[in-house]
Amino acid sequence: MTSLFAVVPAESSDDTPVRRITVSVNGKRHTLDVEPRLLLAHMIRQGLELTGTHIGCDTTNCGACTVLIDGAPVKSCTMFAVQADGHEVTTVEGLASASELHTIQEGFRDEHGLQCGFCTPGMMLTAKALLDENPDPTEDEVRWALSGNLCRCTGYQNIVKSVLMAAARLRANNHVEEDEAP
Amino acid sequence: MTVDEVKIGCLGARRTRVEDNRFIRGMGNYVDDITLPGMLHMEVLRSPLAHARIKSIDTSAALAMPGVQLVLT
Repeated sequence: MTSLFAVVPAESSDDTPVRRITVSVNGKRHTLDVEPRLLLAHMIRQGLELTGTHIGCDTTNCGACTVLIDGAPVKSCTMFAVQADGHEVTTVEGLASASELHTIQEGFRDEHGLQCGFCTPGMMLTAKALLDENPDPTEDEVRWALSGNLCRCTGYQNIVKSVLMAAARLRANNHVEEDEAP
Repeated sequence: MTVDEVKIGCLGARRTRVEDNRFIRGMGNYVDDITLPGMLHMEVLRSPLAHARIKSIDTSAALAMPGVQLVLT
């Protein structure tokens, strides 16, 4: 039986059209047969069982579904899985290494940047894209960058603090590495 | 001892949140993240009319669709 939300097996019993795509998710390549109408968010959540990416609205407003496509923040509810063919997708599960958290995750932990945590994956990924491009943002630049990510719990104060703290820590770490370089 | 130093139980003390670890890793296990064996999915069909009287509802076409277990009106 085919399901609207599920990845469709190649030997589909009815005439449902499928496209074969190859997507690299958190560094791992997946080849999947998907219906063209399958949203990237559903491919990630149901197809790959990576449920850290959340669906929080029906209107592409909230940003809880934010992932990085080739490093750029994209709302995965507003993208079809087939559009990710050949691209690199980063989800929240790809932030931490096997042994330690990403500095951005540390920022949110240490500066109380989350309460219920639902918006947090999207916030952190958008923040990562910002800091990759602008390692020393002002508070206004952080707020502007995160304006596509909504939060119902925190009032954003500590989210901004978390991002600024992570930015400072990343700059400090990079300076240490530069000093150590021959 | 000043007023600032009085702590009633744990009030006023800094606490580490125990739930953050899984939330920041994307392992929050929110309701929509849960998959159980035999689980069904529900969709709500809403009226396309803002102000109208329901005369009848014919669920036969919906019930005939493959995979539909139940139609509630």
